[in-house]
Amino acid sequence: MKSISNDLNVIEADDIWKVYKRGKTDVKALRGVNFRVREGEIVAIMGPSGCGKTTLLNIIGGLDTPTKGNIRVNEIELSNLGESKLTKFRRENIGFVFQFYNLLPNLTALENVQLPLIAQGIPKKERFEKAKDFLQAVGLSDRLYHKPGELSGGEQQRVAIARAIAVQPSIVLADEPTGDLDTKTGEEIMGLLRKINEMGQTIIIVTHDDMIAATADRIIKLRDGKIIENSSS
Amino acid sequence: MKLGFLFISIRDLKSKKLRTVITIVGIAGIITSYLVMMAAANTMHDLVDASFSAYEYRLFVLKRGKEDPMVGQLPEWYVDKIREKVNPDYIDGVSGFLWWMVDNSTKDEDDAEFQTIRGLQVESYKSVIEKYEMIAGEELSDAQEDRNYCMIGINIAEKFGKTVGDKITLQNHAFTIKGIFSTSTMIDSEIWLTMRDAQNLVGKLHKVSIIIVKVKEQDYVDEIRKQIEDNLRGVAVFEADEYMEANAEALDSFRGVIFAISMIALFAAVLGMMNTMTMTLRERRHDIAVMKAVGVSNKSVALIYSVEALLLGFLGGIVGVILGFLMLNVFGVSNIELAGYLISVDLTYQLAFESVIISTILGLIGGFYPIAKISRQRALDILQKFG
Ligand SMILES: Nc1ncnc2c1ncn2[C@@H]1O[C@H](COP(=O)(O)OP(=O)(O)OP(=O)(O)O)[C@@H](O)[C@H]1O
Ligand SMILES: [Mg+2]
Repeated sequence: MKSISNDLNVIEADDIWKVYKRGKTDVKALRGVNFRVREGEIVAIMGPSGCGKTTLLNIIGGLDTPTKGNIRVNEIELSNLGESKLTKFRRENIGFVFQFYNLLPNLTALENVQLPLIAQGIPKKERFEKAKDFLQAVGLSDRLYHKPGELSGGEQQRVAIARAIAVQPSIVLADEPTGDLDTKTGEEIMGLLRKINEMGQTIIIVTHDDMIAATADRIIKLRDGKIIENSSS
Repeated sequence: MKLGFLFISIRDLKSKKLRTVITIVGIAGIITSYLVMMAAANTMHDLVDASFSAYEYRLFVLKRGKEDPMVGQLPEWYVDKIREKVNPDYIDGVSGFLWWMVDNSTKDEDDAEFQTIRGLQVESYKSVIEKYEMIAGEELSDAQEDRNYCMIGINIAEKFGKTVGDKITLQNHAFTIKGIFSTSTMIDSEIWLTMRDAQNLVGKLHKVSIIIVKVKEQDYVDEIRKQIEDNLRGVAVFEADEYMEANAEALDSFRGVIFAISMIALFAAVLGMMNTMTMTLRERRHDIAVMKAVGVSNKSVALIYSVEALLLGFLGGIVGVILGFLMLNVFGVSNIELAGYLISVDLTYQLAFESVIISTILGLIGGFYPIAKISRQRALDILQKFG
């Protein structure tokens, strides 16, 4: 049985705005977003295309910074961190799973998973063992030396998940991780994410799929850059 | 900065084999030409230096108005006259030389084409030629006995593959090689005969083209010069330095041109590297964005691709040195003929080493700008722009 901490917020978002300049017009991707995520939760973010889901996820993960407002992740205020501090933050706190896997095509599965481990300065032998263990955990122990081109979409996404969790980040952010996969493979991937969540990691998933959202602890619905619903499922 | 990432540099180079090879060969070509040009320039410089020091304290006596020793003709007895008139305490020696160049390029039976020949007064020449060493055989020493014999410089011996006892043909006349000498100056490309043979060969009986006087100390030079000018008619006296200055200047400006061309070549190598790295990074920008997204620092990204550029430069340098070595030593373009002198171009370890270092640095310089540019970009900006 997993436990969700009642008082420890890993994410605190206060009045987040994100405005993109496109020529002379401003695109308001996020317009005053407020929410909390507690440690150990699975949160699904839903909403129509262009409503700001990816923008929000990027801000939580320190890939982007808000135009206005505050975002604290693991008690670190991200809104005014510089690039190299944000990189360090991502390295230490966040695992990303992208819709299109984003693996390095020239590296084997084992090497792809090791990337964040090398970035953390983990010694060669140790990171090799870790990467192997995590690939085994996602069911790919017989694909260690395959390159992404030699793997199916579902397998590539598993490698990406292994890479995201290899450094055991407290938060895993997944942007439509099943969007490019068939239903069955998508469910397998979700099963993996839930398994990870049971080990204590907080997970935020952007999805269009109601079935997937239904398995989350909570659903946040966005429309036009605003939260219109924030409810336990 | 994490060294663990460096396997990516090598993986990258391997995954673009053709580009890697083309870049390396391109750099290698430039390094080869740089190497050969610099080797030639260095050899010339050393020769000029050696020749200068070999002629220290020497006075050259030439026919006035015909200050080219190849042409100027002085009566041979002037040599004795100088010996008689100058203060013997101030000089180490006096000797006359008949000195000319044969153009035998059209005659098949002759071994020497455009060779500088020198007639020696065997009893005195050694008193004015310094830094002189016999490699094989013996020197010409007796004007009578050594008729139809010759001494050849080491460069000639190497060029024609001749050794002591072999014959060398000059203007249909065979001379037996008595000895091979080495001076480490341009003289090494000369053929020496006794004065009488030389005069017969060129039809200038009792003539010499230059008289060299070796003065004991710099302080006496002016004095001796004056004594010669006062006692001999129609001669011009030069200090060796003065006389060779013109040659040296010509060589120096030649070296300047070589240097300028080398720099342009190296600059081209930098541009080539820049082009390759720009292309490589453009292809890799998605990878770079992903690496950054998962927490790889700018420094590490810069390191990965700098090492890639460095390896390209280094390998280009190594291949360039090998090609240069083959060119100079196997395909034998090491002997450059310049105004009758054979200049042998040597590839020194130092030059080879320097070329590899230079090539490596060029790689780094070429990679610097594109790498600095991409490694500073935000991961998200790259991902959004190029998916
Ligand atoms: N770099 C940018 N420059 C300008 N506008 C942008 C940029 N990134 C996003 N936007 C705009 O911001 C809005 C929100 O984009 P976002 O990618 O967050 O939507 P989304 O909810 O993830 O959509 P989807 O479901 O299609 O992925 C959109 O209108 C989009 O066009
Ligand atoms: Mg999106």
